[in-house]
Amino acid sequence: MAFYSGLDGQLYLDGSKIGKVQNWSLNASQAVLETTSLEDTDRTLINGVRSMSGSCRVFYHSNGDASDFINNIIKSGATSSEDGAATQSTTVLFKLHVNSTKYIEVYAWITGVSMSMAVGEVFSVDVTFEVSGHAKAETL
Amino acid sequence: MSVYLGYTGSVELDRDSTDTPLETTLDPSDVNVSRRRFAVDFNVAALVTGDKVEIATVDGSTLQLVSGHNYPDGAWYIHIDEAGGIRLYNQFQASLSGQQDDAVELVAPSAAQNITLQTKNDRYRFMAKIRDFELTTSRDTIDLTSLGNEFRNQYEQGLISGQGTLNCFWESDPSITGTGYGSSQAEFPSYLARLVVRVQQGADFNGRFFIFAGSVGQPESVWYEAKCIVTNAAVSVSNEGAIETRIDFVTSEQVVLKQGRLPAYLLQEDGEYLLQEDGSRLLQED
Repeated sequence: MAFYSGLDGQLYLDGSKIGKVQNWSLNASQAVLETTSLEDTDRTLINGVRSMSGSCRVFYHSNGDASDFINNIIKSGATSSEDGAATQSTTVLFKLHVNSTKYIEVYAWITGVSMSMAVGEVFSVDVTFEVSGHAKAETL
Repeated sequence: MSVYLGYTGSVELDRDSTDTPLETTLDPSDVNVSRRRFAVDFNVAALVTGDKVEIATVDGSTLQLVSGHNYPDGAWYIHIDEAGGIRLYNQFQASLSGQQDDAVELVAPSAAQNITLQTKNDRYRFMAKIRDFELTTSRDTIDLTSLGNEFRNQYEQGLISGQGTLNCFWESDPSITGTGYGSSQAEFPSYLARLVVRVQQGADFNGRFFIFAGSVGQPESVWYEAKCIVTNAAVSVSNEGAIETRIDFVTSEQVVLKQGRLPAYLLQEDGEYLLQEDGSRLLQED
C-alpha cells in the first residue's frame, strides 16, 4: 500500500490501545545555535537540542479510553480545599502508529487535557504532551 | 396512483404575543380625537399594524382613551400610520387598511395617564398571496469516525433544525388592490417583511404549513407546525412583472409533522366562538 490514512492509524498509551482517537499529531524540531563570526559571509550553525511535542483528540466513551489521559493530570483525593498535596504525575509511553508495523514510541509528559461539553458536539478530550528524551523506538 | 397538487397546500400564521408590556404616559395632547389617532412614548416599531393590543392603565383606573369604554383595559387591533400614530379598530381586516372612518372613536384623557400596551395575538390566519413555500427539516451529524474505522461513523442524535422559504406576491393593503378577502381575515406578506425590522419583540411567528389541507372533520390533512423566526425578507420590483417577495425563515424549538383532522374551533348554537379565559378561541381538541 502506497499511502496511509486515518484508516491505518492507531494510538497506544502505556501499552494499551486507545479505541476512540479522532486524530494524533507529533511535531519534532531541532534547535540550532548560531556560530556566525565577524567577516563570515554566510550564516553558520551547530546543532542544539532536539525536542518533540504532540497532541491528540480522543472521544470520551464509557469504556474509559479518555479517562486514561484525564487521570494522569487530574488527581483526586484531597481532604480539604487547602490540601495541595496529591499523587504526582508520571511520564507515559505513547506509541503513535501510522500502521500496524510503522510507529514512533516516546516517553512523554501529558501537559494539557482540555475538555469541553457543548450543544451539538460530542464530548471529547484534547490532549497535549511534551516528549521527554529521545524516542524509545521508531520504525517509520 | 394519485398525487397531491399544490392547490391543497396553504400556510397559516399566528402572530406571537409579547411577554412584557410596553409602558407609556398618555398625555391629553397625545390623543387627536378628530383624526382618531394617538401617540406613544416608546419606539412604535415595537408594534406592527394588525396586532391585537391590550391597553390597560397601570393603576387600575378607568382607561380614558376610547369613547364609551369605561373599563381599566381593553383590546383592539391597531394600525400604525406613516407618522407613528396609532389607530384602534375592532376588526383585524379594517386595521390593515387604516381608514379613519373605520377606526374606533377616541377621547382625550383628562390628565396624564400611565398605560401599558401588550400584544395579545391569539389565533391563526391564512397567509394570502403565497405562490409556493418550502420547509426543510434537518438533523445535525457529528462525525464519530475514529482512527482505524473503515466506514464513517456518525452520532445519531444530533440537533434538529428547520428552515424554509415563502415566495409570495406582494400585498400590504387589500383596499388598494381591490382584492376582496372579506371575512377571510388573511395575513399578507408585508407582515413578515415588517417582522424583520420590528424592535423589542423580535421577528417570530407561529406557523402551520399545510402540505394537504383536507375538508373539515376528515382525518386526511398533513401539515408542519413550528415556531419560526424571519431571517430575510426580499422584495423584487421589476417593470415587467408582478412585485414579489421572498421570506426566509428558520424554526425555533420543536418542529412537528402532524397528520389528521384540521384544527377547528368550537362554536355555540348561534355560530359564535366559545372563548377561553384569555380571550382565545377554544379548539375542539382542547
